[in-house]
Amino acid sequence: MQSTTATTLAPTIEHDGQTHRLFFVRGRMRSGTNWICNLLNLHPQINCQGEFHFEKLLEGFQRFVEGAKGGIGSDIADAGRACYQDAVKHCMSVRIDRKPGASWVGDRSPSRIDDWFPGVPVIHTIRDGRDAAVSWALHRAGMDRVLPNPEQESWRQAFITDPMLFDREPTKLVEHESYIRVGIRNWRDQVLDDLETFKRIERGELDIPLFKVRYEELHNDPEGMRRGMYEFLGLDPDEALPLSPKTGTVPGVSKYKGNGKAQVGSWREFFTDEAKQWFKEDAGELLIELGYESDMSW
Amino acid sequence: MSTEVTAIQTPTIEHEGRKYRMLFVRGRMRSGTNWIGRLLNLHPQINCQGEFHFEKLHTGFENFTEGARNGIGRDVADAAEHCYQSTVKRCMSARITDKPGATIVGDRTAAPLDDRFPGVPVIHTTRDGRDAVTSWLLHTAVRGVSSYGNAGCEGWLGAYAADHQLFEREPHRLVEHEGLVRHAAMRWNKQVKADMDFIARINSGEIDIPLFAVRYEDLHADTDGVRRGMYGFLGLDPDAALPLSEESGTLPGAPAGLGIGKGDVGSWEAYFTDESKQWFLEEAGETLVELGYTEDMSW
Repeated sequence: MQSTTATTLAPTIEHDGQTHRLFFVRGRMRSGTNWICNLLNLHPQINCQGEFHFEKLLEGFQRFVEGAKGGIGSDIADAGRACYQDAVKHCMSVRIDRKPGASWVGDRSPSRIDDWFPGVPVIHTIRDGRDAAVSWALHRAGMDRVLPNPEQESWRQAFITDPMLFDREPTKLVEHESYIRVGIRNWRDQVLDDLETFKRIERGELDIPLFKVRYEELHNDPEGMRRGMYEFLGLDPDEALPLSPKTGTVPGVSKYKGNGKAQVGSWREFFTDEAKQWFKEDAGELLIELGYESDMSW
Repeated sequence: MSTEVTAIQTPTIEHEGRKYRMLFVRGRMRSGTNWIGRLLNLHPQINCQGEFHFEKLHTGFENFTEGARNGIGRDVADAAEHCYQSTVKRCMSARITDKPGATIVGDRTAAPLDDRFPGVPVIHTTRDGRDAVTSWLLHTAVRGVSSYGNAGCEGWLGAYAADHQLFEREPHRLVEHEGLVRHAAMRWNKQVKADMDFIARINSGEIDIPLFAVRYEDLHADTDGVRRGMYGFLGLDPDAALPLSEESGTLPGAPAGLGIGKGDVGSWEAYFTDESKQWFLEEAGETLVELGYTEDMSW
């Protein structure tokens, strides 16, 4: 873990006469954002309710503001930017009542760090892309969403019919090259974008207090990591409730249809030599850059 | 022109202790939205400054609210709906000081009709698609940028860039690029049809939007009469407006942006070849008939 700035001066939401500070949990999907949220919610001062997915809203605001800059005027672009922040605050404020005593209100959407809301602290997680890709494939196989490619859809149907399929034949999980490459490339692109944002923060170009989490470290030492997160938000770690299976805060409890894949290194059960090759081609260098491997010979 | 509903009570913007009513001018691009904006601005009570393009914002809100309904919850989706309206109001209020005496603040974006802001009156314009396509092609050539994709029409753009008199000397060259002509006709057709469906929903009472429908050709033939109708639609005294003038760009046929004087009615005839007519017919011929611009497909 690594924190760049502890903060007590985050942007706030005024709600029913009380002031609540904002924070975001960010990172690639299947990299522990839900788990981090569950851990944060053990603290009485933290209220982190669900995935808002403001990136969808942001896309519209970005197009609007870009258009305004090149068209009607920069005053409208500035107004648009301010309105994005107001919209985020307003949407998050509707969840304050679920834990009204909390002074922090958070969003745990697994999306990129965006630079449209300076000052809001971010807890960011990175996970080994191979584990993230395995978890993503399992997640997608179990989702009620038809896959566009007929071969992939029959693969999904096979899993729905037989939920133990990937336990019995793990390599079937990663057998579709085009499909698994989507998971790998999406992981790579998002992590690369976020690493670039880290650099901008370090250079002082962005005012975003940042707490970095590695999923694997969280797995090894959830107590230590969560204490760090509470302190990053200026809170007393001793006020938090203990970890428990019931709250989904104990390592490895996030099971998927009976497959316990919230593990570190579970990709080894699934990856074939072919799948390894696909990963190396698409994201092997990033794995080295992040320190998960020392070279491409794994 | 037709007045479906006269708007008196509309959503308002509060700005420095005063209330301002809102107004949208809508229609397909190159169909007179700018001209209507200028005509409206002749009235001291109307402030219609520029194209805000809220449709860009709209898409983001739609994606967000749809995701929220299926994900985090309807309460968040409802909150976002409110934010869309407050964003529109706040952005429009930023232009109030440009004409502080006005009581109506407008946006004249050439965009499709939408139901995101019930109650806000809309002045909607429709133009013969052949003229709209002609005007769009000229506009595209002058700007040197096309929504069709510059790669697909590089030669055509380059020919005009090298010789700005090209289309005056050889008018058919304006409509020689099949892909571009079809693209423009298809997009005109798509938006106009969508707007026609939307207007039918307003007329049936399904949507609460006060609407003043303008035909570009009517506006050209009787500019003063149509603008009086627009002022009246907004509950204003037409006699308080300034007269039309060349200086304000409000006379029929005034250069329609970028200095291209193609705000005429029926100017497409100077350009269209039999081939380009066929492309237009295939993409949008039926809509032209439906709107009454032609009786059938034999023009």
